[in-house]
Amino acid sequence: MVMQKGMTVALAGNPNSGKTSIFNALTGARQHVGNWPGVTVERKEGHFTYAGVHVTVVDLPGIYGLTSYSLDERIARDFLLHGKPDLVVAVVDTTNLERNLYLVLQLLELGVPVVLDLNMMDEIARKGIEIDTVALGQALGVRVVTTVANQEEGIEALKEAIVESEQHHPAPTFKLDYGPPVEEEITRLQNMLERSTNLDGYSSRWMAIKLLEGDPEAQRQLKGQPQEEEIMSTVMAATVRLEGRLEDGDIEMALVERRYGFLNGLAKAIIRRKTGMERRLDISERIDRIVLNKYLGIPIFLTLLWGAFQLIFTLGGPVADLVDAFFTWLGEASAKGILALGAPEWAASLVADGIIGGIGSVLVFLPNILLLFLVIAILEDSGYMARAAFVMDRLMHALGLHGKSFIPLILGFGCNVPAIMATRTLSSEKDRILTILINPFISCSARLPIYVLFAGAFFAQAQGLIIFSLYVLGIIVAIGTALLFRRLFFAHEIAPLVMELPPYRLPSVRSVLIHMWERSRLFLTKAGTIIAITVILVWALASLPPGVEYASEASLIGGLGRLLAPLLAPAGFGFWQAAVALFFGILAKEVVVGTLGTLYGGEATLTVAIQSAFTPVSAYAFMVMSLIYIPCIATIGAIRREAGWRWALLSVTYSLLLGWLLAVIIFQLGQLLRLA
Amino acid sequence: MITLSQSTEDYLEAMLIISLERGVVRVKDLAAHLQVKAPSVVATTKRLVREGLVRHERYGYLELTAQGLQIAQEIYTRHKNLFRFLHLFLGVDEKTAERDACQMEHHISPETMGRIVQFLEFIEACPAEESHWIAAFRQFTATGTLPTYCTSPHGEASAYTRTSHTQGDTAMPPKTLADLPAGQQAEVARVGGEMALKSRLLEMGIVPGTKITVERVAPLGDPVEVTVRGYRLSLRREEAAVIVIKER
Repeated sequence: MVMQKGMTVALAGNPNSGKTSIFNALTGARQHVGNWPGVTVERKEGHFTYAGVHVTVVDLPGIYGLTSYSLDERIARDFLLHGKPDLVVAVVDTTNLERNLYLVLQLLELGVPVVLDLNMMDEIARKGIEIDTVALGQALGVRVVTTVANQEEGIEALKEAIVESEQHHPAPTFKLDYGPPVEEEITRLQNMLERSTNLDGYSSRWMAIKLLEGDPEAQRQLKGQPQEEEIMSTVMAATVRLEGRLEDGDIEMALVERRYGFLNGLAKAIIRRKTGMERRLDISERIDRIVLNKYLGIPIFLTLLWGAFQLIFTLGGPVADLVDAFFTWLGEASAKGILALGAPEWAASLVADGIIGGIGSVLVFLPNILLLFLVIAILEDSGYMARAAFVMDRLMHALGLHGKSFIPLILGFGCNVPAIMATRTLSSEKDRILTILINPFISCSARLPIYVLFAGAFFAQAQGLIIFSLYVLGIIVAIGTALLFRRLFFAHEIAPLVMELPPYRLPSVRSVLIHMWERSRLFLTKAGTIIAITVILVWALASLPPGVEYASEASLIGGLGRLLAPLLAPAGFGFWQAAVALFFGILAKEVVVGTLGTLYGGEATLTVAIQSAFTPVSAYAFMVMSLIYIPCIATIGAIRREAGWRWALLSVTYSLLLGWLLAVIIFQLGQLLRLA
Repeated sequence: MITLSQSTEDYLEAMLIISLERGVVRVKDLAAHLQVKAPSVVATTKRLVREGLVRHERYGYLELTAQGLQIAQEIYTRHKNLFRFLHLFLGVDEKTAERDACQMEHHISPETMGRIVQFLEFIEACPAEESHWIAAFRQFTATGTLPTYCTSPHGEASAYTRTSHTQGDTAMPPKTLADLPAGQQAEVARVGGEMALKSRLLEMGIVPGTKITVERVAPLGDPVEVTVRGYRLSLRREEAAVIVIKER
């Protein structure tokens, strides 16, 4: 048997160039989604086999160039140089050739072998535009393939071009002429670099250009090299000379201008508009005139958001209840079965409450998560998400956030778990982490039963007002936290908006489904494990030592409650039942009500029971505590999955301290007022 | 010329100064002078001994070798001259002049240093010439106004302190994309802003000569939507304000 050959291909392209569709079309469902090392930027990898060659496809982040200022671009650059891909497939949105080719130009200057994929050829045809692909290929010295990714047209040809490149080794020959003064300096620097420096995979020309542009990563590359000082002083001298000779006196700007000048000329040479074809009024522009209208923009956005919310929670809710009911039934049925087999009661409880309960508490989120990602995929792929950010950015920017942070925050009113998963749409890591960290303070629907119970028992006349005040308090805490954390962790790191508003496009069913499935699978595997383990752990605490009544004062968790109760005394609820209920609330906030019910002898008499245990002031303090004190375990799992352990731990610590502090302040103030 | 690291130069210079003050150099004194911990002084002096710049005497005393002494003297001279230039001539306050001289002495080229020394020699040798224009310079640094016989009409050092490269003497600030009303087109003149933002705008195709149209303003008044090179882009006003446009 012939040894199977293997090669690695990197997919590079602008955001919205259809890169993801190409990736899906090439690799199908054989994908692995993880993170790039050290950051929470997503890294997708997939495989296909063509003509006996096994090809690994690595999807790079969507980027516009290869500067070292943006994390995404740095990741791409690092992988292109150190990941040593055999080939880079540059995916280009043909409807927007100039800007898309800018990245291709950068790839060629970097010196990596490139196959150029002109995507969205159908839209070009519809606009009555023809492209001379042969001339384009000759001008850039690359092989050109044309595709319509969402209809899987041209994919076979692309696969063929990828596999054939293995034999041809298409070393890039392209060299852009920057004109005499710049070329002189480039040559001078190149000679120096080649003589003395370990370039670590960079070509000397690329390095010389980047040094002249003042690229910090290129300067870092030189650090510690024997000739560092000599080269840097040559760069400095060259910079001074060029600044004098260039019209604007700005080298980076002059170089980019030169590249775009070349691309503009190239585009003119290869694009032919068919005559006789009326240029239709741009559909996207017609939609935007309504959707981004001064008066209609916000109402339309809010209506769509309301629709999304309804779909995810109102439609998903009953299905989630069904899942919940199924697992409750399954637990009870299997407990009966196990008892019937003569097994001890604790074994039945382990299976029913621990294992089945644990798995159930993960799967109960699945309907909401699936629907969430359906909605998100449609909003993103259609091009509306960028418009939503455009409409809301002013408000969010005032809080140090991004326009795209708004949707996750609103989803938080339903459930923080899908809301945190929705932050994936934010491209800046800092914005994403900040949006994740403030999300748990948005009062989710699971907290409502607690409010209803306590407000009903203590504030019967002003129930609505009391509950409303808790929602407002949550929002205030979220805003305060956003401002505080921005200062503490991400000062001076407000990401620029500079965001493309892509043309509206019909999302492809296939892409939407793949997106939905991948995301949900990630939730189940990554967040699910933590959730299930915690549920089992809490079950064990409530059931041990053997023979105790579940979650009673004699159980381990009851002991913990007694231990922690004194800590809660300053907040007015320093008794073990409250501590145990809050402990169970970590599983899911609505469990607080159920636990109190069990501990005070049934939910029927619960109102009376808590009326004797709490005062109105301590009841309000307890509600505030429930609102803030800790994200539920599913939320913690989601934070860990999206931002990593460090931020998850910070979130837990911060909210515990803040929740306790606010509860204490409210109770103490209330006491003072009552005395006065 | 051998290039020495800044810390090597600092050590040699410090040893020279201490030896001039006390006659002998101990690790303890060196640590105090350089404000570093004794163990790291020991580590560095070990290296200097290996490089033949410093000798270990008994009882923890250090001594410069002939080669070390030569380098130390050279740097110390540079330091004194730079300090004189900054403090006595430019009128920089003593502390700052001392600190800057400490930094400059390591990086300045022999050529520039030579000229500064010549310059100091010159103004000291020709005191008659010096008096009035040094005095005028002092007045200029203090008040920002030039004597009446100077050429600039407004008494402002505009050509050197101006941060922007834009040509023209109009007092009007340059017009930027943020000033352009919706529905209007302009041509980009240049792109400013901090490095990351500027690089991003340039790579998005906003370069001098590009035509850019403001399409609309978001319902809340910010950001704005522009079209450039046939695609739509949204920018916050603060970002649009770094794009200087040409009036059309």
